Amino acid sequence: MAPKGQEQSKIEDLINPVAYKSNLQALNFLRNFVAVVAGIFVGICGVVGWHGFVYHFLAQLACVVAMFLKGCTNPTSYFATWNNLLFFGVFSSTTLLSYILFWMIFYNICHVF
Amino acid sequence: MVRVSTAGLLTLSGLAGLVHTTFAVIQYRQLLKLSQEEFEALPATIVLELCISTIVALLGAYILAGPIKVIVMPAKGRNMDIGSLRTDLVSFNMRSRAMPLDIPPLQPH
Repeated sequence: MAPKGQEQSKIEDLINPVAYKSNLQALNFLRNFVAVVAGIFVGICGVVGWHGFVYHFLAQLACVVAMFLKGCTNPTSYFATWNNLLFFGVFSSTTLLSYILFWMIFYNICHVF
Repeated sequence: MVRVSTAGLLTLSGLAGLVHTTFAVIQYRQLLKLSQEEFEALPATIVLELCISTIVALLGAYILAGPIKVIVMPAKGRNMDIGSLRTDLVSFNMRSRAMPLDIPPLQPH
C-alpha cells in the first residue's frame, strides 16, 4: 500500500498521432497558401526592400488567429506545444521561398515588364 | 462531372480576382506611360479589388484546410482501438507465417 501523503504518479495522457499529424497538415497547408497569397498581394502593391518580409511574418501570424477561430482554444490540446502553433512551417524553405517567388513574379509582371 | 466544393470555388474566385487585379495594374501603368506621368500609388478601385480578392482566397483556404481535432486522449474513455496507435505494440500479419521454419537453404547449381 502506498503511504499516506505520497502523491499519486501522474498518468500521462496519450497523444493521438493521427489527429496530431492531421492538425499539423492543416496548419502547414494554411501557412503555405497564406505565404503565396501574401507574396502576390505584396508584389502587386509594389513593395520593395527588406521590410517586405515583415508582411510575410504578419501573414503567418494571421494563421495563428485562423487556428484559434477553428476552435483551438488550448494549443497544447491540438498542437502539443505553443511553439508548434507559432513557429511550425514559418521558417521552412517551402513557405519562405514561395513567398519570395510570388512576390518577385507579380512585382515583375506589374511594375517592371 | 467534376464536383467542386464551396471552399474550392471561393479559393478559385479569389485567385481569379488576384489575376484580374494584376491585369488592371498593368493597364494602369500603361496608361501612365502614355500620359507620361510618374507612378505614385495604385488607384483606390484596384486596391479595393485586391483586398477583396485576397480575403476571398484566404477564406476559401481557411475552409479547405479542414477541421482540427483534439490530440489528447484522456485516461477515461479510452477504448481498445488505441492499441493500433502504439507503434511499439503494432503487429504485422503476412504470408510468411504460413512458411515452415525448417526449409533447407537453396544449393548453388
